Amino acid sequence: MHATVKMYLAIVLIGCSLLTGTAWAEKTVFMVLWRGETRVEEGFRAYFAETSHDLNIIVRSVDRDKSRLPAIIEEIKSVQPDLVYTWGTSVTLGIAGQDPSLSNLKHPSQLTDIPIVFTMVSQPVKSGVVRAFGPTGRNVSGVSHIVPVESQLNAMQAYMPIDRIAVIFTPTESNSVLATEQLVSHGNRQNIRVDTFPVPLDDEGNPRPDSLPSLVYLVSQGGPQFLYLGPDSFIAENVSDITDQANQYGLPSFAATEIMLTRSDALYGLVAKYNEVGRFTASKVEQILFEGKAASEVPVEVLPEFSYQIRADVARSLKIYPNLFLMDYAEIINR
Amino acid sequence: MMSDSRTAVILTLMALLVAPFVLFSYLSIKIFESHLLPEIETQTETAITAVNNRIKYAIGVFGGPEALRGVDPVFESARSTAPGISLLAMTRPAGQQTDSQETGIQIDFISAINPEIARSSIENMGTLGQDSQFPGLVDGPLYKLQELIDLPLTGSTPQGDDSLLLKAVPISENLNLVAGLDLSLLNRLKQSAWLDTGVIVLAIVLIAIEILTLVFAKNFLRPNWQISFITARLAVGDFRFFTPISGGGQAKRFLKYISDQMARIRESAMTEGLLFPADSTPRPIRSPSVAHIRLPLFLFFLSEAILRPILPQFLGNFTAESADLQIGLIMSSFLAASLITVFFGSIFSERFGVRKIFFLGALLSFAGMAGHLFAAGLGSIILARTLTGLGYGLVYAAAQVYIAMHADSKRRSLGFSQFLSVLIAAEIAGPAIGGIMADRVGVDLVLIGATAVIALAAMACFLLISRFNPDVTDPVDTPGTGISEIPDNWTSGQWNLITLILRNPRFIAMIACFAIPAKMLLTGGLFFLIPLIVLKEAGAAESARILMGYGLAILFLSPLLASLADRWRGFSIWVALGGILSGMAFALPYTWEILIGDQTLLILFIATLLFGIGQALSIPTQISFLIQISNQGAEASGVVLGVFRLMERIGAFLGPVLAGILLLQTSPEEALMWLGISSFLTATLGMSLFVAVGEENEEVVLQGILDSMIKSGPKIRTATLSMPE
Repeated sequence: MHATVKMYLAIVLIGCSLLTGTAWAEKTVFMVLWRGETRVEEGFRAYFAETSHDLNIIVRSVDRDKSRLPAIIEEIKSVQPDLVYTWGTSVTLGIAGQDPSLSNLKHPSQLTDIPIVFTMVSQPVKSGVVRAFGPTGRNVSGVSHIVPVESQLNAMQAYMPIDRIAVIFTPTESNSVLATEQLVSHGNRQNIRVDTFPVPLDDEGNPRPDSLPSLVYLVSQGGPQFLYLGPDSFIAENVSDITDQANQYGLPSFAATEIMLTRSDALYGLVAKYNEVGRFTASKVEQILFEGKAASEVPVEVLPEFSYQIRADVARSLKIYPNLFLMDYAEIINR
Repeated sequence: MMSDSRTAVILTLMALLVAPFVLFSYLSIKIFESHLLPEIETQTETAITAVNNRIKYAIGVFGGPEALRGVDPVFESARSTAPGISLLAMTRPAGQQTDSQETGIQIDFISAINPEIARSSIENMGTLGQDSQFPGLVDGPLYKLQELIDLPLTGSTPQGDDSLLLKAVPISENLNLVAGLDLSLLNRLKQSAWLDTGVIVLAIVLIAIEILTLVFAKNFLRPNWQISFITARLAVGDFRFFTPISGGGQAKRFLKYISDQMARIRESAMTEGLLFPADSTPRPIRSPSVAHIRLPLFLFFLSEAILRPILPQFLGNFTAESADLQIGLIMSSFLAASLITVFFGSIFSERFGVRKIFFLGALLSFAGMAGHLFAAGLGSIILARTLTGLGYGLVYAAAQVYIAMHADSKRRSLGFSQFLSVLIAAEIAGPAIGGIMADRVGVDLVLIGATAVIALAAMACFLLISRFNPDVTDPVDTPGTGISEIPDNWTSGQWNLITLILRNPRFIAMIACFAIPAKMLLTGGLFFLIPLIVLKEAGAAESARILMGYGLAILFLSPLLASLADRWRGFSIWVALGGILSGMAFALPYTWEILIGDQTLLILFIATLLFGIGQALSIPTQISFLIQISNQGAEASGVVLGVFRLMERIGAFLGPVLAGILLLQTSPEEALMWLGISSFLTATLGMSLFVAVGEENEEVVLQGILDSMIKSGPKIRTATLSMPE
């Protein structure tokens, strides 16, 4: 190619890039978190650290207090970031709201002109954030971290044959209630009996931590093969005590989220690793900010890969051992 | 003389071609065999190591062997991954657990083809050796065959009919993983390699024969015929033709010499009585050559034959579950389409030329075969099969017209025998190639291969088949006298002859009792039911090998039996015996199953071979028998053949339909038996009829005797008429 033509093409390319600002311009992501930065955000940052993209991240946390959201929304409107990142169901419902086509809309969207990518929303469809998995058709996309219930039941069966499990859940947490309903429904299909135990509430309607020991005892007396630990904030806060007591009764626990496994002595679980959730969320942000896709086109998805984790020390103490073939792919953890 | 020299040359060339190929194949298999054992060793080692590592890991992490759960499924999985492993067991010396047995070894977990024999093998091994930790088992690298053969007592043990090699791999101090290698697998793999290679060699030989025949015809037969023709013309002063010169070689140079001499004589001598062309310019001879259609025809038949072993299974993808009747209907769409075009193809070939109709047929079949690849449902696959069938019928008819035009008038049956040999050669090579391809590269590539072969056939048709009809078929005949002459507007048939033939009760009896049942057995039994039966317990390659039994019987026995039939006459007996034997052959597998026990692939092969012998008895003789009973003379043989092929096609069409209907009620084996019994009965009925009423009308017989007394023989008449006016 002639040198003059080459130079001309280079100038045109550089000019186009400067005009469109697709290659080198810094983008701003406004993160709104539920309880400060977690391993999800570690994964998110690590993903972008491996790319050449310049990302300016503004972090705000509501510290488990939804009343702080309006002020943060005002700040977002004044900063006008390129994208808003929301963590958890509560924050996402407070900013992205529910899909406007829903009949009983309780959470209207607070931002429509800025793309929103949510993460760590356990039930995006059931909670109404989106109508279905896949492209949303509105300025929202995101990632769910909960393994489908069917896969969780299969994972339980893979460890050892089961026909009866129990679940303790907080009746005031919609995510937990929905997850429990799904578990019962799928359990019926697979001939697995699911005994449900709601946590008793106090006069103000809050779950009572002091009720947990007697509740766990009650569960263990029922004779289930496993105690299911679903996506439940209250249970997550008290999971260590719950599994300790359950293990004393010889009742092993299955965890549906990584936090349940890391904070407790649950025997095993099929979980989405938070770090991987963060990376997966980052890939969606990248598509919107740097590949020119609209948030409405980027599908809402569950993390495609999960981690099967087994606590070897717990298995030894309970004398409940996994099937040999799980040694091929399970992550064995010893503490 | 010519035939002898051709046979000798072809045999010599074949030997020269095949010998290195056979040697190469032999060496290849030997190399393959030397790599086979290490490969199985590696595969087995890998599987055992993986299982061992997993067990070690589980024991290490969870604290002991008592933590092992779900070991049997892991053993089963490892055995399915490495089929050479016939047993896997976890053992420990006896006494390690309270429930230990009396024997030296206690087996904790075991997975084996035959667990009882495997258990006793392991226990016996444990008592033979000296090592207290794990006595008797071969330690270290197990799979060095020589070592094992040298150590049969400690290294191997009988496992039923097969030898079993055992190896112990330590898991922990007191635990061993014992693996058994099934030596019969090695033998099966070797046997399969030999069979596949043998089949490929045979297929290559058949293809080589076609190519050599073409080369021989182009370089020897045709120049020879041209020399005979031109010298015969020169002898009577006929200068209207010259020999076309192309290429090099001694024969071509000789032809050029003759042509040059003729040109010089033509210029210098204007002797009265010599024949010169009307426009004073001679034209090249249009010489006949049956052999020139062999390669395109072989390739064409090969493409359809390649599909034979996979067709029922492939068509099953487009039907509802267990819809055998639908498969039968799809197969019948091919036959129905070919039924139409085989009849009209001969008329079109005479009118528009063989080359055009052959090419059109190949083009239609190409489209149909390609359609198999894109078919997405029942409708589209029926369309694809129909297109292929339309093309098949056209090519089939065009080839027969070509042979009728090009074969020497006195040896026309020899010409048609070439047609049959090409068809059978393709039927032998095709299923073998298709079966091996299907097993190794998949059905899609078989279809692509078949489509490519049709494209080659179309190309070969264009390159090898002449646009013109030959001037004469016998080199000593004179063009323009009508003797052995094929005019450009040649037509073999007359419509009124068709009705005449169809009113002949003997003809109808022959068609109904022998021809149609024979074709029904072929398409419904051999091509449809036998592959279904084979595929129940084996692959497409086995199906192809079994079908080969039929082809080999036809290829080797039909020339012999046909010549015997010509010598001894009594065609009805030959045809009937063939039908009876064919029917009995197909009744054999199910009868065997009922009376003796499970029928095996060997029984199916024997049945197929017997069926082939039956067809070799009846099929070539059917044509001679037909011409004899039609009473219409040799000039009507084209019409007789046309009507015969049409009727025969009806049988071919009905075969899969009938088989499909039977399958709705019975198993494939039983359906095959009923087809066989029906053929047996019709053949017996036909034989009874012809024994009762005779093969020919009395008037015709008397007329034949009178004719033979009056005429002095066709050779003298030909010589007289060939003299120039």
